[in-house]
Amino acid sequence: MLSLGVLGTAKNTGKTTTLNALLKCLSGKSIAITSIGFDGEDLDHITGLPKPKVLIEEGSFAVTSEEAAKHSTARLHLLRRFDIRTALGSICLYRVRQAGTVILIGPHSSEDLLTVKQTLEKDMVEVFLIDGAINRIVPFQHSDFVVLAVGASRSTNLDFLLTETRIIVKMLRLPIGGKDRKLVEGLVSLEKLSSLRGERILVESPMHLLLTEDFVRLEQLLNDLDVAVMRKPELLCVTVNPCYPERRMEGYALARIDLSELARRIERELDVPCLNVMEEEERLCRIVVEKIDKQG
Amino acid sequence: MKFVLFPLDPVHDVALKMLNRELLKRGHQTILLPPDTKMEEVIEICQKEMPDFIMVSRTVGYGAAELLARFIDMLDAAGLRKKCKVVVGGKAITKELAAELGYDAGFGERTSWEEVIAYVEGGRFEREEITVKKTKKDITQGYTYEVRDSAFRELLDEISDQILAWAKDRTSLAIERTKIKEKMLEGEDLLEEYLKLCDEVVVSYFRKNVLPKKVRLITKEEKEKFERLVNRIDFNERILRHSLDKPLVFVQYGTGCPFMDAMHIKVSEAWGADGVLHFDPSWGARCEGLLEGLLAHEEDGSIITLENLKLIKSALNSSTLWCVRAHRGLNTPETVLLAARAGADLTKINMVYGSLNGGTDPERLTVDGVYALQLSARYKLPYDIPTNEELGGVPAHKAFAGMLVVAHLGVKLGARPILKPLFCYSPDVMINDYMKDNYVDYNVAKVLALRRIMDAPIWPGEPIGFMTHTEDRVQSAMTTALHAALASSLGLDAITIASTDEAYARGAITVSARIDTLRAVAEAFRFFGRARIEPTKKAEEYAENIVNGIYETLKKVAERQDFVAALYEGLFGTREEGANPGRAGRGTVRKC
Amino acid sequence: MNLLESEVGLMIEKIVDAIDIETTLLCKDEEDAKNTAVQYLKSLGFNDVDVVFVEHNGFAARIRLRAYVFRPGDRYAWIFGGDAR
Repeated sequence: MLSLGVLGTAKNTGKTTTLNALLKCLSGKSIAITSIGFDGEDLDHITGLPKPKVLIEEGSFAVTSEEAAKHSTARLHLLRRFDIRTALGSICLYRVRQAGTVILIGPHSSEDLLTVKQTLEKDMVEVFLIDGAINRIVPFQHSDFVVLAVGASRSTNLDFLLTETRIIVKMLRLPIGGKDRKLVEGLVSLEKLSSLRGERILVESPMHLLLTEDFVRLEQLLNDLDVAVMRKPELLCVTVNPCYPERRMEGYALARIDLSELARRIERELDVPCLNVMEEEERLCRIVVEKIDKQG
Repeated sequence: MKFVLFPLDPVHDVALKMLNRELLKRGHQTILLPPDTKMEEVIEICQKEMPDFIMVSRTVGYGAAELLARFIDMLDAAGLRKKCKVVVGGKAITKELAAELGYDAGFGERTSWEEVIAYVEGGRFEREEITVKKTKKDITQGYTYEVRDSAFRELLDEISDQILAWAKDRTSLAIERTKIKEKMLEGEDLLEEYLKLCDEVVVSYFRKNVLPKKVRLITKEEKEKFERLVNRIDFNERILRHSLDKPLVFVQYGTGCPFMDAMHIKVSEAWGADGVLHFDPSWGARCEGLLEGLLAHEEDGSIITLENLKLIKSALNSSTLWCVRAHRGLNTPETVLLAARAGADLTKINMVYGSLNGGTDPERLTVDGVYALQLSARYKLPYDIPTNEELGGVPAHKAFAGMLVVAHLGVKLGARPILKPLFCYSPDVMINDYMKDNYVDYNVAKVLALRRIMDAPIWPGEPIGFMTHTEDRVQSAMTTALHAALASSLGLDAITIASTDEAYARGAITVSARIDTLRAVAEAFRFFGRARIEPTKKAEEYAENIVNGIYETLKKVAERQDFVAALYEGLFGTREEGANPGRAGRGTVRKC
Repeated sequence: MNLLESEVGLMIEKIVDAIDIETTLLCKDEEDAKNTAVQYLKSLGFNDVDVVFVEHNGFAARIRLRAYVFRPGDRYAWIFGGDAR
């Protein structure tokens, strides 16, 4: 089984849209799906804007909470109950008996996601799709692949978006290291990094570095260090979402800026495929399917 | 258990401070972090302390979600996520949002401490425990009606005995109708007998289906739709009183239409009213006989029929006290009967006010009033005694003398009266400058005076602050709220409050206007709590004068040895003072 | 411009800052009240609108809506005359 996560840099960067596209791309395969947050609700919990629904086909698997399962239109058959609780009920594994929309509330910690992943290995699942939540990244340390969703909802400043994407891509490209390095467990703060200048260190994953607010400083510090990671997901591509909720007096409205230039620069400068899912779904499919077929 | 409390906010940490206090009270160990602590620092503290719970507070707007999610990611990266439970609380937090952000639980802005404590301690939170369960209160409970001063007692006894002796062999159309109506309600077909005692308007309605002007029949369809709507109405009851169990708060209704009345009642109940008073149209008081059926009226006052009353009753919450006024017109005893049959809790009888300012002949209303008081006793329907003649210019002491006579008379007949002095800026007050400095002293004086004379419940109305309201909403709500605070400060049993449309006379009052005053009153109760409003020395002086004035009035009435004559002759208020003996029903009292 | 429009224009020009509309709505929750109310204000042609206050209790909501005509920093009609907007 291969796992594939969609992580975003903020709310509304297009994670679920990407996820839906992936579901379509991989429709021939045996898929399990979950979210480390909350997916498939009608309206965004903060902006009140409509959200994309998650459509799931018959025969697929869904990992979601009991309460969420009740509100899904897909007919779900309970297979297994995990000892994982959320604010909205325990997490369970379901088989889809009849296609429909599904609300996803899955494991929200790395440890729980790993538990679910290990359980699914034993089932007949080929691809395990994991939707992200807000800007959360840490649970994806256990994913085999990731798609990075960036968008105007994070910022409408293109330079900022490019810099941020560059640093994330850079972290995801840190080499896998061995035990010959100095091990730094847990969260790696900038202070810690600066105290380790000049050393050869091993951190748990790129995610453990990316939790700082100051990406530029992180990039600078990394110039003075030899850092490797214990585990990491492989980045398949970057998606860009030009739509963003704009604050209005009475709430939010959907606004849009042109991100095609950003996409071109990400491809050219960072050497990673970058696409707008709404317009380039086929390209996304090619990239993902090719990779999965090769690995599988 | 151990808690780390983390305000993820540059300034606000009040909610967490309060939670901290609650947790400490229950013997938990807490670490309350200051606002603006860096997230990295929090992670370090949590790694050292290994708390059972990390409680984060944050108002969620756009951007805050990312911050809250990043905090969870940091805990996850630090290996703490599964070792501690992480709870988020704040404005706009919901369970769904907590799930989306990866928190174990989330609590929104209207959460009670009990709910959070129950969650962290693993107990079950029973929402029932904190929902207010209102119960109906008997305003008259605990009062003896003892007349405290023997001099007053002798006078009141004398006057009451004279009234009872006088009324014993007298009857009226209203009393006879009431007797017939009682039998009709038992199923006897006595409509023709009944109609013989009614005015033409009522006779035409029954015989020729002619409706009075501006009155229409409510259809069956309307009634069914209304009932479906009312049955669906559900809300959390609330109590306006902050730390005291008095006063109960009443609102008046009488828009003319029972549907609109019911909606006004439901909204008033939802915003904390404890009781409602039914006001009928003024012409209903001047017409012999009552109509039947579900009737809507296009002008002020909702028509009294058993069907209308029952419709109102069906809309009332079980805890809501309901008063149907009967006090002033040609159908006083019959109204008490219908009120009792429809399930009312209270009625309103005052033949002094009703005959001097309500337009009914004093002789007629005295006979009817005595019978109505007997019904009030028989049906165990306490009655309040309004003294609105003050608004016409009658001095308080004269109005109070009349009220005390009606109260004492009722007690003798086995009924339970409630005294209703007005809290108002009356003509008498204006002329004599009693309120030159403040609105407090004279209103306090009224209460002091009544308490000195009789041990009875006191319910100022109707409504409090009469003649201090203007059409401005803020001023209107404010004056009502201050008068309510004064009533609370005096430990009074109930108040009737106006809407903020009290002074507006060109249209019906709105539900919004009701909500606004109820909110204002709740705020006044919250503000004062058990604190008292202190009157000046004047209050005592005024009280003394009122007590003396009442005594003098009662003395004159007793000496006159004829209550009805005393009414005609102005002993309870002269024509100059605005007391005009009414004409409706004059000459209709018969000996029996 | 017909008479009515010119009168409406005149009123807008005389407003210092905003118009508040208050009412009580029968609605299922606070969100419902807000949405209905904001949509209504917009339908009246106001763009800069907000809900100042809403209190919902079971079946009804007391609500106060606001439509800003002028924000601080705007060209106020009460200084610059009718063509300020």
